[in-house]
Amino acid sequence: MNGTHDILDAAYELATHAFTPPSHADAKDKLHEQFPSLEWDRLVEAYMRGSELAEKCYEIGEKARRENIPDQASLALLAKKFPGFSDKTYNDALSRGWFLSR
Amino acid sequence: MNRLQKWLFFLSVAAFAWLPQAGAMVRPFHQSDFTSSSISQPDFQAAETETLIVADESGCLWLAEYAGTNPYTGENVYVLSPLGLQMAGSEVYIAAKVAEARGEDVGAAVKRQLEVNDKVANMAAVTLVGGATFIVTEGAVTPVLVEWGLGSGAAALVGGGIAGGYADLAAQGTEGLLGERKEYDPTRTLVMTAGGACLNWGGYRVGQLLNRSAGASVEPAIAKAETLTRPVAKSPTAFKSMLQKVDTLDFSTPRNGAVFYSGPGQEARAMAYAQKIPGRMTIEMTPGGKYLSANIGRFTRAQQDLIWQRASTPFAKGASGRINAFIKGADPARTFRTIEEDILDESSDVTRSIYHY
Repeated sequence: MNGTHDILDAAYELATHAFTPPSHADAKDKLHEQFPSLEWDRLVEAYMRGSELAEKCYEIGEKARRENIPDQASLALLAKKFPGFSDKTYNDALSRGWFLSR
Repeated sequence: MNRLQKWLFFLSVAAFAWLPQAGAMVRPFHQSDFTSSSISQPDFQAAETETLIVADESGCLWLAEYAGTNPYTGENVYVLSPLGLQMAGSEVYIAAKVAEARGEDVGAAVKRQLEVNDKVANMAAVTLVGGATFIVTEGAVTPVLVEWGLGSGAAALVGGGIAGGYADLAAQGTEGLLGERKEYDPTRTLVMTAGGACLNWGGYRVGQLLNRSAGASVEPAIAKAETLTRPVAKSPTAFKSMLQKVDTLDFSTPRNGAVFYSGPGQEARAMAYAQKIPGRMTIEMTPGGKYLSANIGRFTRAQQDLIWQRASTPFAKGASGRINAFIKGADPARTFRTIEEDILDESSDVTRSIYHY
């Protein structure tokens, strides 16, 4: 479990449950536990990218609703704006955005 | 009637034959191309003057009706169109809905129907070219193209070409569609060839427009179908089961514990608040919400909306004491404003609503 996808996916998953500075710090610690060999700077960078995707979910879901964007187009947009995640994470992010904007 | 008048007459007849249909965004299909039994079963099988109305989940009605019998092949021709609203891409949408209802691969059904649409558009273009070619060759080539068009499922559109052919026959006084050719006249042939080339070009352009129209017009339907069906289409049975399941789930919250949110960035505010104070819960923190979060992904977006809306009612009804709502920038058309807030306002168990803007 050392691929870039895996690290970013894990970062995204942890970030979706973190809403305060302490919880973000905890999330980073958990990410470090999952990838102990990863340099801290790289880990923080990965977490920030995961966190950025998590924070944009609402915006993505809202845009998809308002503009009636097909899923495939939304997923392609996600992959372009937030490269490096797995398809499953893009799907999860879109579903989450759909839920948040309901 | 001179040649120009003939060509104009041909174009007029052709236009009358299929432009109204194109304008109404209705395209013919054949049973062989679009499995009619998938639209109506068993009603469609013995249809002679059959009209079927199908209602989709959103309440929109769609019409599939018998258009006529192809005199050359004996095949019945049907057209699909929405009832009342003339919505483009109805075939694609219905194909998706049928596949969804049957639990089949929706993506494959959409793709299959798109291919049929493209084929019909191409047939229409070929038919026009065929009509023009008939004029140019004076009846020698067109029947082949016309027959191909008829056999391929574009009968109604082919009518334009046939009518044009007959118009030419009537004007020329020749023996018939497959009759003898007239005497060779270089000047006339040259003029007619030039005119035919123009007509061919026109047919090609119309074909392009048809193809473009088909592509553009089905896009909203595809979007709608995808919105309704991705990521994995579930059968109505599974969806109904989930709705019934929602009624049995626990969305209750402690007194003063219910936390609502709606709008951009409000999840983070609400969750931070709920995580900070024990006993505060958003809907996804309840047992029922956790269950839905883990199991709802396989349903379509529209179904997910309905499931969460169904859950919102017991969640709001179960609220008591003080409730907190983080609703800065909340859309008045979304769940909180349309469902939850009304319930909270009417609830005698809710003593105070604290809105965080």
